[in-house]
Formats: sequence, C-alpha cells, structure tokens
Amino acid sequence: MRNRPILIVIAGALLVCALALISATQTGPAFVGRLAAATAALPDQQGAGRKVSVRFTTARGWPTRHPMLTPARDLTELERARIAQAIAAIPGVGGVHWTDGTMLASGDMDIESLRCESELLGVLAERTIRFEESSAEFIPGSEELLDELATAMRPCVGAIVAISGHTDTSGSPKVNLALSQDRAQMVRRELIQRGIPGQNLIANGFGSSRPVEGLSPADPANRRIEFRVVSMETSRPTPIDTPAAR
Amino acid sequence: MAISFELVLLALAAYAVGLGLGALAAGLWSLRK
Repeated sequence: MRNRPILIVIAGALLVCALALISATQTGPAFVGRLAAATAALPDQQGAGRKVSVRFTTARGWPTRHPMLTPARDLTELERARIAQAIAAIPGVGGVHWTDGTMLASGDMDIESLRCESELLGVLAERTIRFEESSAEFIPGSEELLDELATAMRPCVGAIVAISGHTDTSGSPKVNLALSQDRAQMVRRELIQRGIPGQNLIANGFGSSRPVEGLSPADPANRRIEFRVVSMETSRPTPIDTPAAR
Repeated sequence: MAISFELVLLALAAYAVGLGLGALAAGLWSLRK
C-alpha cells in the first residue's frame, strides 16, 4: 500500500492530539486552580480582592491560563495597570484581558506614565487653574496649585507632559484660540520657573473646539487647563543634532 | 485560549519536530557507506 507511511503519520498526529487532550483534562483544572489561588493571595492594592473578579475559564467554560478580569467598580487606568501587571506576573499566567476590553495587559505596559498622570490628576482633582476673564493672568490662589503641580511633576523624570488650554464658546473663536494658547504657555512658563525642564513640557491651545464631555460648549466649566503625560521617553538627539560620519 | 488547545498545538509542534528529526536521521543513515 503506497499511502501507508502517510496514514501512519496521520494516525500518530491523532494519537498525539488525543494524549494532549486527555492530559489537559486531567491536569488543567488543578493547574488553573493553583493560578486562581495565587491570584487570590495577591495583596489587596494589587486588586485580587474586592476590586476585580478574576475568571480562569474561557467563554465556553474551558480552563485557560489567560484570565478574564471584570472590574467590580470604576477603576482608574493606573489601578487597572497595577492589577493586570500583578496578575500577569504570576508564573504560569498568560496574557490578561479585561471583560470591558479597555485595556490589555502586557509586560511592557507604561505604568510610570500612568502613575505620573494619576498624580497630576490627583492634584487637579478638586481644583483647577483659574484665570482672570479674557486674560492669561492667574487668579490669586492658582500659584499654590502650580507649586503643587510642580512638586507632583518633579519625580516624573523624562515624562513629556502636554499642557492644553481650553475655553468656552463665549467670544470669537479666533480670540478664544489665542487665549487658550496664551494660558497654556503661561502655565508652561510658570512650571519652568518652578524647575520643570522646558523641553519636557508642550503647551497647546484648542480654543472651544474640545469641550468637556457631557457639558454644553457654552458652559464656563469648559475654561480649563488639562495635563496629559504623552510619553516617558527622554528626548533623543535628532539626525540634525547628530553629526554624520564624514 | 483554553489550556487543552494550547497543549494540542504544543504536542503537534513537538510531533512535527520529532518527525523532521526522524526523517533527517533516516536520510543520514541511508548515506552511510
């Protein structure tokens, strides 16, 4: 029979598949149980406890090394990153997924930039930098807030922070755009004066083009300054700065 | 991905490597003087 070697190879492959399936059904649930126990033993701030529920089964109920995390309440991106990294670091655990799909954990997640952003947002949580109407001059009191912001930014070595100025729709769009740019520049200048390196601060004004989500564009609450950590990379010399070989 | 599926893929990969090495060994054996 000419096809005999092929048949033997196929039979071998089927046998190997059957052995793999049998060993998976025998050892899989116990293995996954150990992973779940290790996850449950994580400290609370890393999220094993009340913040998320962790499921080590696929949608069809088969045991898997790739856990599905369901947040028990609204979590910040930083909390999510910490939780996902802590769980992904358990030996044997594969990629971590969130059931709401907003973030996938991977080994090289930029947790530092999230931490910096979270600290800046913490300073700005209940207060905001205020300006005199139609001017880029600070209202008294904003100076202390700027001091706190500078203190929060100092440990974020290498973080590139984007400062964006926004206004409401009152007045002409052209004036608003210029005003928002002036305000963002003003904040940048003040932070530089407080010792933050200027090359790590980018100031942009958007006028009234980006209102706060859920607010009417005319709402005065749209007059604001926002901070976002753009990257944690330290600036690298451009080809112009780097002389080529002659 | 379920553990069973991962194990099947791993086992098939190992089987293919084994077959390849076996074929290589058979080829070398047939070349001997």
